[in-house]
Amino acid sequence: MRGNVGTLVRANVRVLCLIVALAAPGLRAQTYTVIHNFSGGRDGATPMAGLTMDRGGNLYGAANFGGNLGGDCGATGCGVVYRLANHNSSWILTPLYSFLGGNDGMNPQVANILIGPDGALYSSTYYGGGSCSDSDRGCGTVFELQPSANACHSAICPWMETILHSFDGDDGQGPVGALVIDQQGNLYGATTTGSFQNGGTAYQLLASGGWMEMILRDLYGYPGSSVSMDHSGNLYGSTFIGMDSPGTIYQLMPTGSGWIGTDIYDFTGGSDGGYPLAGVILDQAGNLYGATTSGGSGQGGTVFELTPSGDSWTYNLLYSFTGPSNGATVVGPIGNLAMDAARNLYGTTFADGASGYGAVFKLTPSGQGWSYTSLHDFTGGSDGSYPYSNLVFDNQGNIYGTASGGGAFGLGVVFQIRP
Amino acid sequence: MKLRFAVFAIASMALVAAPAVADILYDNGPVLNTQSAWTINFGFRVTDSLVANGTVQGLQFWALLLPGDIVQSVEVLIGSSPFGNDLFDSVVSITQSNCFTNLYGYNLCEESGSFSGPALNGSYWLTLQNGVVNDGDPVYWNENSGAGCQSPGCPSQAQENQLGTIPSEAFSIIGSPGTNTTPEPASFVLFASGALAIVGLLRRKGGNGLQ
Repeated sequence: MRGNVGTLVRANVRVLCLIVALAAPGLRAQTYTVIHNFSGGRDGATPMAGLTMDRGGNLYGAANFGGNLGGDCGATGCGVVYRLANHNSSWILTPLYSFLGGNDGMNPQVANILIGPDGALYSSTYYGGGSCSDSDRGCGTVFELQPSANACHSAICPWMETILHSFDGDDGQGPVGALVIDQQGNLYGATTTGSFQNGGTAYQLLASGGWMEMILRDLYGYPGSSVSMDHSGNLYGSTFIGMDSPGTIYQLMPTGSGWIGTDIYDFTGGSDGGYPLAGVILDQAGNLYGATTSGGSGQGGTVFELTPSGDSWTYNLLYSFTGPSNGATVVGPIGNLAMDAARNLYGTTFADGASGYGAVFKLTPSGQGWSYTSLHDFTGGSDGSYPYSNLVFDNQGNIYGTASGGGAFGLGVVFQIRP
Repeated sequence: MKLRFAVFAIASMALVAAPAVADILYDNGPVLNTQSAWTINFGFRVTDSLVANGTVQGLQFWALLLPGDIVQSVEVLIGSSPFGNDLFDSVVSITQSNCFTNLYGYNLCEESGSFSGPALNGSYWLTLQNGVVNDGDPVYWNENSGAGCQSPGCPSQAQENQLGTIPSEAFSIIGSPGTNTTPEPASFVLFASGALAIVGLLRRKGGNGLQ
């Protein structure tokens, strides 16, 4: 009898081991790692911008504060553009440029870095840049950073900055989001406020015209992100509020006589969501994907798709986030979504997740709609909190982003999630 | 009694005369946990002034390195002028220790090398160049501006071969102090006791002779 029991136990253990072994791939959790804690020193603080990856796998970003202190920069600093490079499985942060304030620009807020064809970096600062009709801190700048022409003599190898445009309020104020570059090298972006209706602009900087600015459209309501461009050169973006709505998605079409602007979707604030801050991304078919910060069935914002059909666009709700647990009014994604080759959507929520400090999520298409997977729920501690960030992927499928708060110094982190 | 005096005298004199063990001849201060550091390979050279009296037996310096890098050797020059090598020029094998990671992800490591260097007595220049790490990465000499330096003549003046004047670096020179080095109080006591013992011995001898 004892022998039979022993045999039975051994057999059960073998079966259990087999089940665990078979289940292991499905149970494997993502590994969340903080790869840099911002200290508020030369490395910066409070990263509101997401990351951009070059072909070598280096990450580029901007921190809103830190860097130079004092003077125009005050106690919190004017902000930093930085690079994170991987070396022997460790990450090295190099400050590439520390803003000086004043005419130089300061505080690169939700301003992702664009890497130009020649390796130059392009982005914007929210303040600084000289005289401004509506702010003593300046109306913001668009800048270019180039590596020094000389070989690097030291571990810190600052890049050279060129201000391409300084906003004065009448031509826009407070540039946000990642710039877009076309084949002629012209840059496109958006400002949150300023210009005719003080509701922001969509603008173009002409590379062949000394970076002269052209306002493509006076926007009605405070865009929180820049524009995206399709294969035909059309631009798409969002505004936080619309003429009579809690936000719009707009399209700008180039014509021989200028640009024609159209609101292609007005949010209702109901089940479709409202008050978008994220911009839109495009798939190969020209469908748009975006997110709202609030509204939806859970009042936590939505992820949506806009599908072109003739001259109109059809709205499809993909997912509604859970409502705010901490009274936050901005809950859903602020950074743009990202799509992988399998058409899964990825993003961050600002104040959603189990602890209300934001989350990194994946939406997977299926026959029954889109299923939500949390890749990480921020706790507000050493792992970070309140991400504004988009997400980027390396060629191993690792995901990278930033969180504006938390971390070892409470001043934000850069994180990696390994699948 | 005479024998005891004699032994004590000889021992005291021997202690004074014996060559000193390796000591710090010049100290430009400890490492600073910053990212400021200057390249000492790929054609870049950094020279720091020093004031020393003694025979050089080695050096210690702090390097800022990419993670996983191990310094294997560095070319050490000692001369009477910036970047000079009129007194010493040799590739020195390096032992790396006490590494830690700074806020930016770099490693800061103490690098030590022993060699038979020149006898110094005055102001000189130490130059580091052609640093070699295991995978060909840059080697950076940590800048400390002489903060916490301990030696006469510190902080060092420093130059980089293309940029000119730069803040000085974290390093110390190891060796045996020279003969005209100001003796420490303990050496004085030993010398004085030895001298007294000899005088006492001679007096006793003299006394015996008079008797």
